[in-house]
Amino acid sequence: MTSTAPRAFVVGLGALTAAGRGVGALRAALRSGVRPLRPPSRLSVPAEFRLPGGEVPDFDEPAGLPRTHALAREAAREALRGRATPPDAVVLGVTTGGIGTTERLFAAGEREPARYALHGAGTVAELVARDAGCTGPALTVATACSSGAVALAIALELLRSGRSRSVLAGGVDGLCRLTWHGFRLLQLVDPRGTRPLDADRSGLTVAEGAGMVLLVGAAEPPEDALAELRGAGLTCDAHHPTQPLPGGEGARRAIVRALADAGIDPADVGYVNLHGTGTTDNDAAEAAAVRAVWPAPPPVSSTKGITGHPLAAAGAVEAVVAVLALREGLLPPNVGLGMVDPALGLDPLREPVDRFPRVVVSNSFGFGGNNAVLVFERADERSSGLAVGTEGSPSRNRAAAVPVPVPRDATRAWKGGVLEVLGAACLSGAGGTEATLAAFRAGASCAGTAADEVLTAGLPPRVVRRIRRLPRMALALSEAARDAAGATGAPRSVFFGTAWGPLSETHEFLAALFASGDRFASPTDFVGSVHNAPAGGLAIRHGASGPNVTATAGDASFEQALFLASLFARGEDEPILAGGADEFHPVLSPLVAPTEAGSAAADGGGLLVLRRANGTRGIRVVPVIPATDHGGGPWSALVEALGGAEAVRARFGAVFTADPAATSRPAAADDAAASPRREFGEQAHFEGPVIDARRLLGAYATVSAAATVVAVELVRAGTLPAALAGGRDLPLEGRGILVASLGPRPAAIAVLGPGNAP
Amino acid sequence: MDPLLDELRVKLVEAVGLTDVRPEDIRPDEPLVGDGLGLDSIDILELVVMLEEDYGVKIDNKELGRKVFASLRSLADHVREHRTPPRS
Repeated sequence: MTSTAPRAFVVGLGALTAAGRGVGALRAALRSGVRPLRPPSRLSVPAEFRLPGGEVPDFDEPAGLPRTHALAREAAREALRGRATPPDAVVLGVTTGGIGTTERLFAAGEREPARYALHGAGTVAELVARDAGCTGPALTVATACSSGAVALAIALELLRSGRSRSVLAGGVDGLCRLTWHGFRLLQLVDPRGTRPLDADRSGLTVAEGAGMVLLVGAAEPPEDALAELRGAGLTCDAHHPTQPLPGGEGARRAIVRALADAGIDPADVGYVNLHGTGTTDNDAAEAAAVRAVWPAPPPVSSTKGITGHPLAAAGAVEAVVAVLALREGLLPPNVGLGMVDPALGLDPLREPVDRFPRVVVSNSFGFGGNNAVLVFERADERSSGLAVGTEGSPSRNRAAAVPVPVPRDATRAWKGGVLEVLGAACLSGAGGTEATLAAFRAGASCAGTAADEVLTAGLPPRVVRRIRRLPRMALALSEAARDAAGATGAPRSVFFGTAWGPLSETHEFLAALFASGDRFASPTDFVGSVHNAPAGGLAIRHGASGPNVTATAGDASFEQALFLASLFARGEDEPILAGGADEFHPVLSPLVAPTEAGSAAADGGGLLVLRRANGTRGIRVVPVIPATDHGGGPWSALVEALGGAEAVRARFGAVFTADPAATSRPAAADDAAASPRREFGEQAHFEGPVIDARRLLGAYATVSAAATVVAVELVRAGTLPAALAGGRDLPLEGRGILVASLGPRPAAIAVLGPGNAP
Repeated sequence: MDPLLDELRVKLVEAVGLTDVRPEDIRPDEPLVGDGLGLDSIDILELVVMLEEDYGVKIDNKELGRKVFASLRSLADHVREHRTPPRS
């Protein structure tokens, strides 16, 4: 980062919580310390399980729209109110997506795929982006209960890098049976309503909500700035699917990283908004982390006694709380407290306090050991353009007076950073990397589902004993990719894309729940059903204690994961695991992920060991995400981002397409004008081989991950085999391969050979 | 011979997916958690669900759980004492 990197200012807020609709309702609850937690009225729950919950009051979703989507849309509209121009991008944290609607349909025996069109967690951000008129990328992260905070951390990097000038970032989750009963079966729900930090606390309160923050990048605070997002820290415990590291070490590292990223001295922090769920283990680990950073902690409180725990929305709702604290001098109370647990060593605020802090820290942690910490500062603190950190503080002077140059095409296409491939592995119906490559080279289809023995070969029984198909696929890929990377050190961060998450766990949990009248289901399956469970397993297996991010965005899930990996790539000595996979589930896949008629049941994926590229050494990959709706179509934006038609022809010897839109169209309608693939050919005047990777590797969402790995190996070999190149081996002569997802969510990955400039 | 204990061995191995353990190899007095069989908090919750579903035995607090899940024998003793006819 240079000293002229833009700073990120909050200029709009939106929130729906148990306290009510709108930021005003949340503010009033924070001021009065009310406790609106009560059994939900809009979720059907057997009488014996009607525990206190955090339902957004007086809010009914319109027909045809899942509750999560409706909550997100209203919060987004609030945050954008009065804005003349739409944001450049939308970044949301979502864990459940349309599952509330899916539950009702599935329980009622509905088998029409069209009814499940909004199941995917990524559809929430797409809806919000469309509603806001945003044609830029709609990114979705699913990192369990840290999702909302991770979304803001991503927005910060987008603004700093100049890729976006404004980002709508937030988190959302609606109440549903999966989470209501999942947490109950984990015995993590306090029957009296959550009492964070209490000596007698016994769990959280499952809630819903949405939090949205409109951020703009600028060198100086704009007039309407409410606060500055100064820094963020992401870490992973790499320890256990649900239990925090004893002593809160992962949380402590996230706080330290966030403060260092912000250039803020711990002594300048005037309030810490705790994750404070009210579970025994979270509060103990978090308190230890806070005390490790601040021997004499600043004022602290958890606001979950007011909002309950709105899961993916928590980090975003609490970002709104942080901004209100800075803006209005309101330090909110820790509601629900009887006697503070003396073992925690914290003295939480019992009443609202009128005080203007300079800096607020907001903690969010989640299943999978995901830790995300945000640092906010009063917007007027550095208006002179100079850092005003206290003497000896690590403040960096980012507030240069010169205007920030914004790339002309910032809203046309997002080009990620360049990553060098150290090792790669893929999985298909043919088996692992070697078997897949052999079939692909011969032009034979690998579409299918690999046998379980292929996934578990070489993995200790204890490692796979309580995980089902998708996390097994992820682990199998990671073992093979690390083998291929040879002596490369252990990966530090994990970026994983999956459109549908662990479908087997989700199905097993819901099927057992429904069959037992909402009484029994496997807590193991609930823990395993979260989208980020596979990435959490990778972190544990490989000791990856840095950022751990799962992206979910339909067919663009892998591309988004790789894009995020490039955004967070740091030193060359910090290897990254990045990949994507989806499983085929015989019941759920045909409903949520219908494929072209006649295509075989297929799944698989690909995973790469990467590091930030240095020059043009080695095989490299570059993710590109074009705008969705721009004059000339996404393909002109993609071609432009790749340096223009001439550069595309010069740099790429072949194009692999993963093209669900075109292939799902009946053949008769597939005329030249309607085919995105041909449209791309016209844009780039590309005359080399265009290979349908979806046909060869399988019709599933993250097939582009497998295609990228195959492309890496072919570029490494330097030849496109005859079966794919029209009958004669085609020397690539230093050219790379472009992997283009030409579906409704266009995205591409450029695979570059040694010496080939990105 | 203790038929309930043997029944629980099988159910235990199945419930937590111990594919590398034969039910008959679990010693009645070895610890289930940590060193010993190596179960963790999620496994114990899986057993809690199994006990309620199959035997009508509820375990809803940690102190009781620690006592019941100390070993296979303590588990069998608790089930014997508290089992109720299954709900229809």
